[in-house]
Amino acid sequence: MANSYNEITRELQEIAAEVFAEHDIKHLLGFGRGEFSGLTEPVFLKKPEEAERLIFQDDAAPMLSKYLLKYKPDLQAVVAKPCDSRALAYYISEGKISRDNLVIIGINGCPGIAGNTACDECDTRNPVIVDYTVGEEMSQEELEAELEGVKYLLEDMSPAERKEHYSREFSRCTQCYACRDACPVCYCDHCYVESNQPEWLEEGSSADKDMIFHLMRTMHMPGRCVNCGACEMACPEGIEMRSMTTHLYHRAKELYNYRPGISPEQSTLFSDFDKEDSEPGFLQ
Amino acid sequence: MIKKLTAQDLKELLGELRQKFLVIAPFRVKQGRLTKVLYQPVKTNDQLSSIYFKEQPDASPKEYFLPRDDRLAEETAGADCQPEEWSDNPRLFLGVRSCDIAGIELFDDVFIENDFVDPFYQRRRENSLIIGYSCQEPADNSFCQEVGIDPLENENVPLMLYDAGEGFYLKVQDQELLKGFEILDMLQELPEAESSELEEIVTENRKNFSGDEFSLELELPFPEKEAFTSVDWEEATASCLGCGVCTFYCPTCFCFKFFWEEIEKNRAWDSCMFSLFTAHASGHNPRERQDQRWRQRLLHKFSYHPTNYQGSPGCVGCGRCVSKCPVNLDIRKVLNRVEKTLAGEGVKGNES
Repeated sequence: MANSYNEITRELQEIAAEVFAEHDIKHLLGFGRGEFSGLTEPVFLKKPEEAERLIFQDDAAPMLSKYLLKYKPDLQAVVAKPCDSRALAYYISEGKISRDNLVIIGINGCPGIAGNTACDECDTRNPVIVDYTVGEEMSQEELEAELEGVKYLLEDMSPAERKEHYSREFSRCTQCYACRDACPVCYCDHCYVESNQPEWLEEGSSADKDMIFHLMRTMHMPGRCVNCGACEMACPEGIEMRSMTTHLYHRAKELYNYRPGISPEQSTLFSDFDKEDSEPGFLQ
Repeated sequence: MIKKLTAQDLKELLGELRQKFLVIAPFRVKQGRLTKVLYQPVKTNDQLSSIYFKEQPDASPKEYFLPRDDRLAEETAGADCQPEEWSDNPRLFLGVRSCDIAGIELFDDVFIENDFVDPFYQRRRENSLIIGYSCQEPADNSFCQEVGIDPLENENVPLMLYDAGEGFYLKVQDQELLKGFEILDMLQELPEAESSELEEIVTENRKNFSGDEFSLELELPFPEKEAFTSVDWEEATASCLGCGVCTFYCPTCFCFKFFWEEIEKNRAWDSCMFSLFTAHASGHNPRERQDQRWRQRLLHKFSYHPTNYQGSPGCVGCGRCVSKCPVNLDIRKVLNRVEKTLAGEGVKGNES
């Protein structure tokens, strides 16, 4: 069963001290409480005495894996939710970061993040790669029982209904790019958004351009999106963009039995293409 | 002059005002997983009962003065164009809090200066009447008093609205300005109230604003050179993801970019938090890293702006950048680091 936030917090603080003692790390990335806001925020701990700053709460939404790429190749320790651990496995499988540069403190039996719809359909409640763990593992039977009958967002909608939904949702987009910036697998050094030679995305905002931004981001997601929901949690306009990526996630799972970031040795969805693979088209 | 209104009086007054003004007021709006409070135009009198004053709106009325997308001119037309939708329609903004009023005043400083007037901003501004609103309790993460803003009283708007639980008080502060908008007659009919009644309410509400944990000791402007070079900006802002949420929600961030759409010249919001903001055509970028962009944002508000505008802060302390940030990166924490660093360097505030 899922562990409690308090229990995870307590164990994290203990294990952090061990990690500092056993590894010469640049920093330990975890969650702490904002000095003035009281809100949960990413913290970069440098000293063992800081271990007691670590917390895990239901608003620990950011994906910490995102920060690791900035400081590689230094040895870094990171507190990883199961979805974060999948992003890490994905990074390693793509050669973005070396396993040797990471000390991973995985959260077993993750209790999830409040308001994140991705957690409702989460199929990875224990981390996939770890050096240390906190909390009790959740058994496969339990996980399956929890997922019994769970539908992913918009699963039963027709393409026309989905298009209508997306048009309405994306009309609120302000192109702040928080979704992209919060996404652990949006790690391109040069995003198409920032490209003006050629200019993939024209300047200015309009319903069409907002839609183009989201469609282009979505087209980069099959076989990469670990279905963590960080994009939607980051969006200040409450745009239900995850309904698009989760569709691709589940299509890849149904059609090719592929889930990104399950193992560091995994091939990417497109590189293990087989000519027998079905080709129904992703947006159908 | 102070008027006492029931909720019904206020509705009737607004109903009348709607004949002359486009009334823009805060409403609760469902957006995906979020319920937000947003300024929206009142389209029917029925909507007047749904106006929502209880919380700080999620966004300031910035977009009504500096739209996210703004058509400026047509190449073939020569002179600047004047889109019809905002030309002659006076607008009334209802329930604007002191932080957001200060945001608009900052825009006035920047866009209606002696040497430079932005006619697009000016037209919208001069067509707008603002009814201020006295806060009853601090908004999440706000620190307006630390940047010299009084959340309860504001003399810079012609009308100020106070929530009295049962009904409202409306203080008329600038009759001259109201004459131009011809609404004094409508107000005359409402019953007068004693100023002591209102003072009592304000004094009571003010007690809710005493517990700020955060205090800003350093005087404005921050010493530019010392702050620029001595603060560990990377350490203070390491969690920044580089999105534009803080700047888009900021009531004082006004940076924009120009672009062409066929023959139309447009401008749209830009953000100093974006890497493209300072990217040169050569490929060189003077602000290559996110901490350098953060330094720019903070020093613009606390050093460069006050330097250029008689010590006036470039931040109104509304707290939205903290509440909206996907990683809750707190500007108060960064300010605190700046203060501590400068104190260590022996830099005192610019004593006046």
